[in-house]
Amino acid sequence: MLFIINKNSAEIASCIAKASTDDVVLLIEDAVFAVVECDASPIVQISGSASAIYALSADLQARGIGEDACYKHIKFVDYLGFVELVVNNNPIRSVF
Amino acid sequence: MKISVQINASPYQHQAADTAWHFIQAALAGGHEIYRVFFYHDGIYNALRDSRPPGDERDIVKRWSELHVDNNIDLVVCISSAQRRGLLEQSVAKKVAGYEKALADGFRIAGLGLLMEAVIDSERHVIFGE
Repeated sequence: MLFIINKNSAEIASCIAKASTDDVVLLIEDAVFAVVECDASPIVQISGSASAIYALSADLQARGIGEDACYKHIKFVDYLGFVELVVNNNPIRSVF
Repeated sequence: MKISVQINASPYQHQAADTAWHFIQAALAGGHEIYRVFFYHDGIYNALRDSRPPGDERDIVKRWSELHVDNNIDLVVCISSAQRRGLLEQSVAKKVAGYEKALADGFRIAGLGLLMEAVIDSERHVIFGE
């Protein structure tokens, strides 16, 4: 399953905690704030998860966030990569 | 691959319409088919003909209309979401003496059956909004 999350909320940790190792999480829009390395990020709570976590590069750039400020286990995708995640994963669940 | 898109949020208030549009552009560039874009809930505001953003801003409604012309993509507005918000299909507007040209070019108004059809007939269905 591909989880698409668009808000920086507790839902991120909840989603990733529920995800199996076959699931993928994509953070878009304001959810990309969660990948900035800091103690308050919900990403911290699930650092042991084996699920792949992606962030949309365009939304990071739009918010002035450099990739070097993000957690090292985060992967970055552009819109073409977003499409590839959709193609390669099924079903898709958008989390609001 | 055949992909459908659903947009649940209004333009300008939320980033969903922009994200969806960029996603669709990338999907088309990758050789995929966009089967339908379904505008639901506040997403119906993407179809307002009289939207007039400042000239130096992106025109989201016009961008959708151009997407329809350039790629023949089916743009469907949910009828119940639209009527609740005063966006009336032409024949309905005539009956109630409403504004008959509220819907922008390239869009059509239809029921949830077309959303279900999109979900069933597409290989992927992606929802943007809130």
